[in-house]
Amino acid sequence: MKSSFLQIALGIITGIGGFLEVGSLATAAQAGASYRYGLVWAIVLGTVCLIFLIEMSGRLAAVSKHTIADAVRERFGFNFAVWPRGAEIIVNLLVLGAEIGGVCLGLKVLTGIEARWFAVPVALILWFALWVGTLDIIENSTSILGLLTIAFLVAALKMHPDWLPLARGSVFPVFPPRSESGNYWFTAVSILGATISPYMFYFYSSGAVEDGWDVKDLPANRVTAVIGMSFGALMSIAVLVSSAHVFNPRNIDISRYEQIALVLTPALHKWGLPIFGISLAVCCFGAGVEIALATAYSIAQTFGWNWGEDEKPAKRARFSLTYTVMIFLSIVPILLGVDPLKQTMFSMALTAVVLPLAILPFLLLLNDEGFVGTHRNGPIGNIVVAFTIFMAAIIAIVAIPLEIIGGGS
Amino acid sequence: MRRCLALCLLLVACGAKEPQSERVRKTIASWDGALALTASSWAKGDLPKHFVKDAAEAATEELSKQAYGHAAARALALADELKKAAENDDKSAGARLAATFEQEAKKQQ
Repeated sequence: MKSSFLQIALGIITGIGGFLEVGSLATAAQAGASYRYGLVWAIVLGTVCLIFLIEMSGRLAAVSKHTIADAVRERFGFNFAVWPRGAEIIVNLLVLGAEIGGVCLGLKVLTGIEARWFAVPVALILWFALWVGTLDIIENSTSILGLLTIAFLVAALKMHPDWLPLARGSVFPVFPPRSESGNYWFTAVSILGATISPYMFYFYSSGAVEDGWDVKDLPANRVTAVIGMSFGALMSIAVLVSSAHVFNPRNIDISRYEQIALVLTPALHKWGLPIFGISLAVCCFGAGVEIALATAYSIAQTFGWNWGEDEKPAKRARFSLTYTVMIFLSIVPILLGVDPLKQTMFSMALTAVVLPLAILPFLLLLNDEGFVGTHRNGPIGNIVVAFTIFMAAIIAIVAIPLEIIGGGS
Repeated sequence: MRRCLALCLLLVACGAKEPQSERVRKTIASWDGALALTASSWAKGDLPKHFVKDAAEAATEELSKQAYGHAAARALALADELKKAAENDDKSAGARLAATFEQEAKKQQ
């Protein structure tokens, strides 16, 4: 088991490097370009909910030695567990495709070679990393490489943000004209979907069980959730601010990655594009690893198979087969030429749709003495989870009509 | 439950689709702005020519799909010029085109 200090440090690095992925990058860039600081509140709101849910996932794992999927199956039975899992698999497949697409686009930005040529090699490297790597090696290497995303913070500060409107935008929604409200709320929904991604809970709680956390790790878990996710959100806000300063005054509405790729160039000049390309590739690769593993974890735990990234593949054959199938199936849209940005935005909105199914069990499991003993949720934790479920339910109902009204721009 | 559903429907109803002509104008302005930034950054040596070519191709693809009329045809012709300038590594043409795109973007505002 890692020391608490090392665990917190790694958590913070994971927060910085792991939070920013294709969804948060694309949605934050679109938000900044179209509405300046008018959607910072969505990142802040999503992050507050995420902090609570991540902390709860870690607490459940540390106290009960159960992952979320495991506990759901044990507490509510296989029949209840299998339906949400089915929906999540479909969404994760789309999100994984979007992340691999993000790696390919990062490589395209760097080399000029068509993105779809990278799809199969990237999928193979991702699969190989999971096949031979251990959880620690994969997590730490992608997270440390992901520190490059601090470049977005540097760029945002170099552009001298207007602090007062930024602070106001962090708390209050800015209502756009009626003709733009469909797109505004669709972007808000996509930001929330990109921020509160259910795969993060499965990955975090499964990692905690694999790392052998116990009650002693609860303070470190809390600090990791708060500081790590806050740092990650800071990077996301930095993307939004950079985008607001580069694209909004020029009336650039983001519809292609070729536009987003310009976000660092005015501030970092000739380093802007290479840093953007590498950041996009590394962050999306890290997120791809997390999604492939999280899906394999949740399926294996729901069906009661052997699982564990640190075990040899032969000892958990069905677990390894699951991520293998997921990875290679997810690249089909890229090979068919589906626009990666549209797939990203659609999959983020779809993530928001399955959120209530993923979050509802938290309210019951984290109040069940059989699982968490005396470490049950306090009133604030319960209010936040209940609010997140309520918000997620509204989002689930409105996401698809908003996609028709305002999405796809 | 009924109140919740009503709130959701209200949210959806608040969103109205933009008129087609307005969307076309925004698309053209957006690509004029993006290509102005791309061309000027390339002329200053901040972007490689392969990226400029990719951006011009992306603009051509999107404008062909979503825009129509005189302004769209002009933007398409300029995007093609920028692509050719990038292929020939002609940065002085890039600087000239950046100024033209800038003017076109202002016209669309």
